[in-house]
Amino acid sequence: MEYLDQDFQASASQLHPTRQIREDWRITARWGNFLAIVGFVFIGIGLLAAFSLSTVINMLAAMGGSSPELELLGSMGGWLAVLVLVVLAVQFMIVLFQFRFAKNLKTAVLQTDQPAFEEAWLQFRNLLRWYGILIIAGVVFGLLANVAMYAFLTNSLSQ
Amino acid sequence: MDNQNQALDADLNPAGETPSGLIITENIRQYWTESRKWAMFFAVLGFIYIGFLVLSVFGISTMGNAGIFAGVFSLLIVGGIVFVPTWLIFQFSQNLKQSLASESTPALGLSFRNLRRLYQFAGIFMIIILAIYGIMFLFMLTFLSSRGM
Repeated sequence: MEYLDQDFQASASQLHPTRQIREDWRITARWGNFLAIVGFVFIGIGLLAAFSLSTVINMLAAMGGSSPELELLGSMGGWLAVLVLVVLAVQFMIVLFQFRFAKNLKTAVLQTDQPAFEEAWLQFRNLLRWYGILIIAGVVFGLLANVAMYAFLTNSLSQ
Repeated sequence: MDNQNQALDADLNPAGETPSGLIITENIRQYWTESRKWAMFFAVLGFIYIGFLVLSVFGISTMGNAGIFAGVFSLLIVGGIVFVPTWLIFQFSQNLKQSLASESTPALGLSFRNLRRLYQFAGIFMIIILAIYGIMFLFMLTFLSSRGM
């Protein structure tokens, strides 16, 4: 015996967001929004700290005159500021993905907005991808630093 | 008697929409598939980190009673802080995988329940960190004002 709606049943996805799932998404979006705002504030404080640090280093270098240590510090100050800015830029992208995920998920749940729903999960995927790449980069950098330190120590001990 | 002239699928949306109105499209399934793979990667890293932590605690505990105390204390604090999000992200990934493979809505619900808990944990943890910063700032202000600076 065939049912008239059997083709419909086979073609439609059986997964559907229940009321409870929508409630979980709403709460996730709320906390995600809070975390993103705190993240933006921390990045702003980090930017201020980076600029004041580089200013202090440059002032010390200018006051130090011909002291080689302060000259070295002055030359490193610029690189340090660049490094801090790169780290802050990566953090900004991550926080931005978090913010967009939370904003779109909230809109999707409250207004039953399908494009916002798709956008939210795209941003969530991007968020996890950037975290993953950042973690892999951190692990590789840490391993390289360890290998370099080990090579330096064995080299200096053998001499 | 029911209206015989209305279409059989009149109560179903033409696009096969669910009562909630949001559809899980093929794009969303792809985003979820990639997201749950990254989530599993983070969970595995977290478990490896906890494994190293347990090994280091065994190492510290050979240094006598103070070592055992310090080891157990750090295991409870650091291990607890790391274990909870690791477990939640593992559960999120595992349930999402199961739900996508077997079209199971209860597994989907469990998956997003764990994601919600993960965000709640991160949010509450952030509030505690902010509170600690605030208390430290107040202490610093009190200390400076007491020194007449």
